[in-house]
Amino acid sequence: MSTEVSPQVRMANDIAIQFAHLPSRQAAREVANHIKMFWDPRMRAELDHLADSPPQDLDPLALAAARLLRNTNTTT
Amino acid sequence: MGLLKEPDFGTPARAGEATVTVEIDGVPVTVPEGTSVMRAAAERGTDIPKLCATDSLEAFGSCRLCLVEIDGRKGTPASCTTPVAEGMKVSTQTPRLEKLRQGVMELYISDHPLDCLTCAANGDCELQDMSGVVGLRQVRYGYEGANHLDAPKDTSNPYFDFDASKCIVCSRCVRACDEVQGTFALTIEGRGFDSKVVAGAGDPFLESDCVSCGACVQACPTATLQEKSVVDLGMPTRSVLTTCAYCGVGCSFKAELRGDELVRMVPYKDGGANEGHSCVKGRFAFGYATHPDRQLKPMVRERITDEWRETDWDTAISHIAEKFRDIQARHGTHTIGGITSSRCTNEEVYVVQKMVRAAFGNNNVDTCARVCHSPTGYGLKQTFGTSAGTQDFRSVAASDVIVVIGANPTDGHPVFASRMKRRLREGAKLIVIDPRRIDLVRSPHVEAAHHLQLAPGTNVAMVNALSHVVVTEGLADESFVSSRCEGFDDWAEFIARPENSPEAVESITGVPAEQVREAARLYATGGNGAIYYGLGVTEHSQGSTMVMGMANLAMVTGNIGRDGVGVNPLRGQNNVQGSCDMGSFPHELSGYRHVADDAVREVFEKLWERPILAEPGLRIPNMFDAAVDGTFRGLFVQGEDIAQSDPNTQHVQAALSAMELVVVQDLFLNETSKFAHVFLPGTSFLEKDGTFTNAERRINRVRPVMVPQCGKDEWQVACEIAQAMGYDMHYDHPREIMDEIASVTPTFAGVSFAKLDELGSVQWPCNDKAPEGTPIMHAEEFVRGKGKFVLTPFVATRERSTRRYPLVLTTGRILSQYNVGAQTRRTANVAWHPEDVLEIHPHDAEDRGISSGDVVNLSSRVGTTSLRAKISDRMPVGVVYTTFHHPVTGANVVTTENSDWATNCPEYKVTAVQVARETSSEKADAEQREAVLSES
Repeated sequence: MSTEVSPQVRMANDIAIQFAHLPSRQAAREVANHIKMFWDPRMRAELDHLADSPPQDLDPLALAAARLLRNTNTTT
Repeated sequence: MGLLKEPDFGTPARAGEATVTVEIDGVPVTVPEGTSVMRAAAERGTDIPKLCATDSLEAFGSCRLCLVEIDGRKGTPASCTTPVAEGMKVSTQTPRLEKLRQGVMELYISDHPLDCLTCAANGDCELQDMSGVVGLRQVRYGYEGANHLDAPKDTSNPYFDFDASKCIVCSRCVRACDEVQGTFALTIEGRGFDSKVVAGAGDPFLESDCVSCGACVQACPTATLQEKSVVDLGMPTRSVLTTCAYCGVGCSFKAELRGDELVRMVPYKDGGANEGHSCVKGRFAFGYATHPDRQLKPMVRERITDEWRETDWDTAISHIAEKFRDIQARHGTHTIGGITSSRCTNEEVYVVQKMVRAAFGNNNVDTCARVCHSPTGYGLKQTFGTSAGTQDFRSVAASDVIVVIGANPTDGHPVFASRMKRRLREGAKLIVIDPRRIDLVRSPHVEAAHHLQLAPGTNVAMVNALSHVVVTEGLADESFVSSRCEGFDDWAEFIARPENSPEAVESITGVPAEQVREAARLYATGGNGAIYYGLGVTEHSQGSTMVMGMANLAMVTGNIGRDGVGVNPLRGQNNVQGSCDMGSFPHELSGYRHVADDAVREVFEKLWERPILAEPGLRIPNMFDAAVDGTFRGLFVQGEDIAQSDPNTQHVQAALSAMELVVVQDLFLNETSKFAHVFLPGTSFLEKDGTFTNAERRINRVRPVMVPQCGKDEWQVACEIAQAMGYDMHYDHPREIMDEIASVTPTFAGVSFAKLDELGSVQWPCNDKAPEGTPIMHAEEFVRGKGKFVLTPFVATRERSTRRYPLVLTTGRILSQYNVGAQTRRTANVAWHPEDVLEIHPHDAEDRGISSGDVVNLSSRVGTTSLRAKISDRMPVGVVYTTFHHPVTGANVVTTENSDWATNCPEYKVTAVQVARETSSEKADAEQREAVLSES
């Protein structure tokens, strides 16, 4: 059986942990940039939707990136 | 063309600027210093008779046929072993030489069967030729004396026979096995008249260490080692130059035919990638192309539970177009997509991605490189500026320290491995970083200076530790770093931290710190250091990070931009590089340019007359997730068996089952076609007309050996689907597709079929700056300007061994089989690998009461399969290994959804598993499953 975690949460968390060594604002920007460059819009929409009521297993850095994606035009 | 016979200069060419001028039969000739008299003569057009000499092997001087006379020197030296000297005057034909040569030939012929007229090598036998050349008219010794005419024939190898009665003991086969292939499987047993060639310790060829590369067959001057196909079909009469469709080495071959029947594949000496060498797959395993299993007519069905119904091309294509358009009308343009194949030509891949972008109207196109080298694309683009290996294959001949990371070249890329082993025999040092003790660690005349046998999933910790040593011990190439790179200070501060030291990561990797330090020192100070890597790097949760880590290591030691160095992905399939180059990724157009770049999109939009979305599309794993969610409903799959090759089979099957239209184009019905609604027949490489791009960026022509067996080229099929969907996509010939690729892709700007026909091959970038291509990249500056150091902190995979799943499974492939086995399982290569087996360390086997040959259950948290165990101390304790060549085993039933963080490349190399002996009831279930699978 596959894990119960949604693919978007799993993938966003995977990205977030790779940038966790950076200062938090820079890290959130990097995660957001990565998602913008490589994720299909429907995947980003799903992440955006999750950010409204974030699941417990969503990494805080991934959540910050999701909110950044919503609020700003990150550069690619 | 007729039969292409390449010239044989007798001994290898010598490099170097110094030249020597000699006179051959009164005609001056100037050649590089060190050239043999035989070769000098051949270069001026005089072929000196020879039997034991051939220009792929160093001179041996045993046959005594190539004798010459040299003014001022005594005797009649062998021209093959005599180097030229300034002012030397050589006579190649004198009465004395004629007599000597006839005498030698008499001796050979007195112990050789006189069955030339019925011999399989008739017309292609150097002994026969030389008898004529030397003017042999008699054999004074008769044929009744001691001889070897009754020596037994060894027919054990499925592809060639060894007829000892025809052997002249010239040792060319033995030397080819040693010098060219590097396996040392053959030897001369006995002395004097009893000397004979044997495989191993006198074993049948099939049971010996012989790897069936064909080098011995190629080298044999008689019919002693002869392809069975030549024995059965006769000598070929014409040749077609083409490119192998197996691994990423991309060897050039002469496909030799008799009429329209392919008799044999002979490696092409002028092939840039292989220079006359081959492996068992490329040389012999081509029979699948005409296998009766090939499905040659399109088929459709409404539901995947229905029987297939054969139909004509027009009906199938109309059906596909209608269904795709219907899905889009009901659910949106973004709900369909396509997958391109690295087994297809650049031209075929390009038209499929164009079909998706222009006709489907979205960027939902991905390629099978997603599951192998997509991290290479990300990692090398971030650090160097483009997604490509830095060197040509020849470069390894100038390497002093070779680092092989997560690759098994002797199995996966055997022809390149032979080049590498040759350099290692010459004295280059080898560092192997791999959990398994691969053959390169210790094989005849090759022994790694260091085998860093790390725990699976700890690559990044290892590469960071290597860089840590370089930086903290003052071994960095400061000049290179300061002039060619950026971001060094931040990276150096990071990498020098104590947590990256070999001592700190020892508990993570399991490799003693001092061994890591010694390896790092060797790489940094041992001369030209070259890194070669494979899927053991990329198929990890930090695959992209590891690629960047290796790039960091190469930059900090200045090992970039010249011969003998570099960072080099060994690509799994023949056209992985090409399929990526062609814009198959959902975020990139051809030449690795992001779809968000307005200027780039404009080029395509203008030419294609269709808007291109500025947003990335779905990657393959995302397609599966979206299909399960109901937001992705139609898929075109070009030549990839995703249901067998992609991880977490149950999830893939659920995704495919959820789609309304799955179109599979392939040679054979496969695991994926079980979930398809339309099956379109594909073309084998022997039918294709186009180009492949190998792992060294070499663009090679693929020329059709036979007409498409299914009646259509694959590029035509994509065009017709696009047309049926309302987008006018049309070409009259694949050369026009390459012309379009060149017009929109700066790195391919100078590429055309005409240029490839003229030059043989070119390595991209090929444009105005480099009209004949670029063998070594980043020589003056990196593609991105300055090479970029990227911080690469180690993050452990979430896949952990547990009490329930205490072992780690890693997967790979072996020499005789290729990926999902669709091709090689339909050849005699099954003689070497009839089924996938699970390699397990003796301690782990003993703990579980497992013996070699036992059927075992292999289970992970996502699934269970069963296969036979093979006890092997190549594995470290706690790690098991298998291949994924057979659908019955279904190794990917147990692999998980974990993937590389940056690219979603699956983490095939780390799966927590348990292994247990199968009970009798489970065995019965497995047998039933096997029976069902074999019937379906």
